[in-house]
Amino acid sequence: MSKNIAYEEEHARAEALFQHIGTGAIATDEHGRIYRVNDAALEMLEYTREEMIGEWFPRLVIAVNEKGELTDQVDRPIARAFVSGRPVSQNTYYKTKSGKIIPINLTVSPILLDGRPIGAVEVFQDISIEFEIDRMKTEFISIASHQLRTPLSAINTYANMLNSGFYGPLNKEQKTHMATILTAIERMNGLISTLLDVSQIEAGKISVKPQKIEVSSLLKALINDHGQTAANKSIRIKTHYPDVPVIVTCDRLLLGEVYSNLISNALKYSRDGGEVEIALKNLKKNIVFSVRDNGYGIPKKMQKYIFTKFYRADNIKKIDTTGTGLGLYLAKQIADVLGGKLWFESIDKKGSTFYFSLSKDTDNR
Amino acid sequence: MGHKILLVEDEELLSSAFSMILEKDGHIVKVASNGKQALKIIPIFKPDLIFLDLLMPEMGGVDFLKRYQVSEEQRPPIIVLSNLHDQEIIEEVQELGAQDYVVKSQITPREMSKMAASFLS
Repeated sequence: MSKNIAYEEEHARAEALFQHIGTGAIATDEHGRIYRVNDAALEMLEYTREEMIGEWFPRLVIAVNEKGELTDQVDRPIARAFVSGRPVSQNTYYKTKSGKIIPINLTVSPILLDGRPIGAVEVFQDISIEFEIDRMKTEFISIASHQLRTPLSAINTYANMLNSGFYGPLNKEQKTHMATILTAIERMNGLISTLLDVSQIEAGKISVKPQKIEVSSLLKALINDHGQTAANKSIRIKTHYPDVPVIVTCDRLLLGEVYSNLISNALKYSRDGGEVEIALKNLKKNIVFSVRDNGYGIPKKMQKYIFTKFYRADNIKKIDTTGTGLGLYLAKQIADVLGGKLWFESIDKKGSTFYFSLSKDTDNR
Repeated sequence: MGHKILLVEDEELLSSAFSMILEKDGHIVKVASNGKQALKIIPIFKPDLIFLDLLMPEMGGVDFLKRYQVSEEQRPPIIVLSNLHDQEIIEEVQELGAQDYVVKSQITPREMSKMAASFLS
């Protein structure tokens, strides 16, 4: 008798938690059939409880990607949770009863009894507002950057006119200060361009124009562009190219941007007199670019954040204050757009090696 | 030497600087402060080269390109000088017949002279 009361109490508690958890919640049996759903879920998906109970969850609640294309049943988080026996979290889009598409953040956990799944619980929330804020932030960066370029155009033009002796020759001191001004302008320009690149890529506006590229010659040109920086820090650049021309079909500018970014980081985070080794490997299916430096390296606990927007490792923040924390983020975003793989190995105080692998197939976008 | 260049630019600080740079090279420079003015000036001035800004009051550069309909032989090269960064816009102006696209906050007087010379030779 008392056992029954305890059970009922526990059941009431679980039910209250399920109903008022504050997010949508749906529970299914081991076949994915819905047997319980809370009010928040009903409100978001625009169904009545009667319409949902007993239905097969993946069929009733339609998941799509950002283009509105149907998600494969086997890729659905609930299917993956059943297969792996582990909770799966992900952002996706759900189609409501009326056909409205809403961005969703969800976690689905299998309910296990003696290691065997007897059902699943999915909790999810509408993240439309977060999406909108993110879009507005991207738009703000874009507008602000354009606006910054307008006064910068005037500063740049007149500074360059003065510097080139337009209004008469400069004395030695004036020349020195002018050089400082021009360097600052260049940095400002670089920073604004990076911010604009980030907002373009985040808005999904980057366009990829694939063409046949000989990668060794592209690399040679890029390394040449960085020659002055290397010379200023007395860094020796060693290069290794395959003996035969390496041809890929890829967007030249975007690929160049990834390479350039990695080379520039290697130089930036090397000590004076260091060595940077750049290699291109021509494998059967892939070409792999690598750049190794014997510089500051990335402390282990910071490695997982290194591609995060605005993130800068602590050791580097002390040494160099000019970085934005956008370079590797941007490189990673572009690498994804190109369908390539970007990764690194690094040892604190010893240096880092960054790799970028790209498929040679012509169908990589 | 001595070519006619039209600068379509609403920002006076910039148009006067660009004029000075190009005049120093011996060119004859006229300034229009928007697309509408440019359309009026072109038939009279008959420029050999046009530098075109995009964001301008009344008629911007994109609308100017859409309305400036002359045969290809009659059309002088057009270089867009803008601070806009969107790839879509860069592609659009190229489709509309602009020969080049330069970021205004990055161009130096030397580059401008060189660019004018290369399109005028």
